[in-house]
Amino acid sequence: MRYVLMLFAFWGGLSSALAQPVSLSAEVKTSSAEPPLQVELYPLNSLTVLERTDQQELILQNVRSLSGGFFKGANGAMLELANYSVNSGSSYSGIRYEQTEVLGWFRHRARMLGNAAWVFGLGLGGYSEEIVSRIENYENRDHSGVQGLAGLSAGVMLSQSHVRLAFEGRALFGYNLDPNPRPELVARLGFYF
Amino acid sequence: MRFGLRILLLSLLAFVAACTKTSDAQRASGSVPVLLPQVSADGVKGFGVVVLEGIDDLSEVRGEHAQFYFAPKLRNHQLEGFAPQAQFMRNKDGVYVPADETSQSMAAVYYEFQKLHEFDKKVGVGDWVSWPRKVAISFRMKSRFGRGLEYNNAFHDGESDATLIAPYNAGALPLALNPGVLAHEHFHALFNAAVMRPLLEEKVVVRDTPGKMQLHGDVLARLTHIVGLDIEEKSNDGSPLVETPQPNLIYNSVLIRAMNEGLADAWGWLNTGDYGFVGRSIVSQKINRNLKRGPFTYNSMNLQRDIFDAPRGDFTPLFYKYGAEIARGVVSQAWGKYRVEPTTEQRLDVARAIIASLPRLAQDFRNAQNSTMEPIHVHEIVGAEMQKFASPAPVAEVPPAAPPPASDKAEAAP
Repeated sequence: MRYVLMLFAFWGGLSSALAQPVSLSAEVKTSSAEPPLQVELYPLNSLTVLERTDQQELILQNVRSLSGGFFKGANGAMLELANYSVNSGSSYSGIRYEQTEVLGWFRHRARMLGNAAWVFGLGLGGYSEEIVSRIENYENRDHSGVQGLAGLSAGVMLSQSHVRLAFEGRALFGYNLDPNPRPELVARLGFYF
Repeated sequence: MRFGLRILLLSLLAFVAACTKTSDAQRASGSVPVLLPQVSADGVKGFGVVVLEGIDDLSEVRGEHAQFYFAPKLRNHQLEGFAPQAQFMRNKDGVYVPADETSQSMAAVYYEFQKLHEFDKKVGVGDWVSWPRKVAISFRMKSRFGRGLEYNNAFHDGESDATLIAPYNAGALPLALNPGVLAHEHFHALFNAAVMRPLLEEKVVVRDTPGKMQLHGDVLARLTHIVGLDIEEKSNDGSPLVETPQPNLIYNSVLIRAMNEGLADAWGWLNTGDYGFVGRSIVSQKINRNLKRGPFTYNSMNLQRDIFDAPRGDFTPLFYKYGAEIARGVVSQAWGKYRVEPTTEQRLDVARAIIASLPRLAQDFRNAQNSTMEPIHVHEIVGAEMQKFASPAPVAEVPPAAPPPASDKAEAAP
């Protein structure tokens, strides 16, 4: 329930923010005209997350991720999908843990230098887990319900000739994450038009 | 400015929502349903939901029955290390599903110690050892074979009174998921409390056989051969290097360890009904440690000869060789008494008989410091205690699978 309320608050804030005239973007030349809608797509993100392993070590883990969204002036929204799995145990007895995340990001960009811009984000969304436990010839598959996630991010975005490169550091918050907050690094390479 | 405040407010809301709540596993306490592999006397039976009782914090699987240390050090007879963070997913039915192997091992070990605690109470020894039991997982120790670390083994450390489980990579049932192995290790704790610790304190036996000892007489000459001692070695003032031990110290120390291992194997069977629990995890021991085979006859001469022949004074294989025979002897006695495969209740009576025999066993070791105790003596004591329990009603026939009773024939080939 808490997350549903937050989601409403988030989208309320986002729509109000988008309605305001903003002229900070490097690509928005005039403040009098309605800023153009700019769609962006990142088919292949390099997302690295800090995770606790079976052996109690915190390691950097590479995660499959893709995202897409838009900017309207200095503000924008993005939807991101990420998925990763971890195996532990042996061929006789093992566990496969898989996590799928969906996050909606409100993003704000600010002019830095030339084609570079600062980009800040606030994310809200959820994730679900699947665990496949095996022993001998037996297998058990279990799912969790959807659990809430929130995130904060900050980074740099470079735009040139419809190609966009972004580097972001961020922290995801979720009460069942370990560690919580979970530090992440993401490098995005994509297109905008 | 208003926009910035809105962003800040939303960020704070998100942060508070995500951080102020503890995780599901941290909040889980009391009776907690957990999904675990089901291992019975017939082997693995898939997965099922068990209830862990007395849990204080599921994220460390800490509670009334066990507490865990991850790869701890043993220092000053205590475990030093941190509690591992277990990962669980709460499924839609409210059951906690381990998310990795370590978490599954912790939950399985906790559940087994919960059952062992219950078994102890039924047998009358619920307060012989302290609870919660201390358990080290991924315990790193040097291999006794030389280089590298010890794998695929579990121990009870008498000084810290902890169960130590080394990493497992043998490709069969992990030791932490093997109820018989955990019952075996738990018996060592009971044996330690009733027999080993007092006898060690009284120097009737020694824990580590032996380093440099000054021995004497006929036993000295023979044991010198075993342990590579220099008979003439004396301290600078010509006195013995250490206090002269009793002549039978080494023999008794090996024998008591064999009895400890044997009764622990029997305890594994009594708890689970599984005759081959060791072989489920350590495939190389599938035959050697199977308790459904008839016991060989052995006597003090066999053990003495094996002590003499032990390479480099490493007696450890003898603990298990003679231990397995002692365990088979106990199983055989149980079958002999009940004439069919003992039921769970009957196995409980056999467990009571073993426990009742321990004080006398300790006393007999005290009395045997200048004489040689026969390994089979343990069966005389346990058998006498078993006779105190009610005999079952006669049955028509003896099943063919019954292990034969111990015979007086010479040692048979395995």
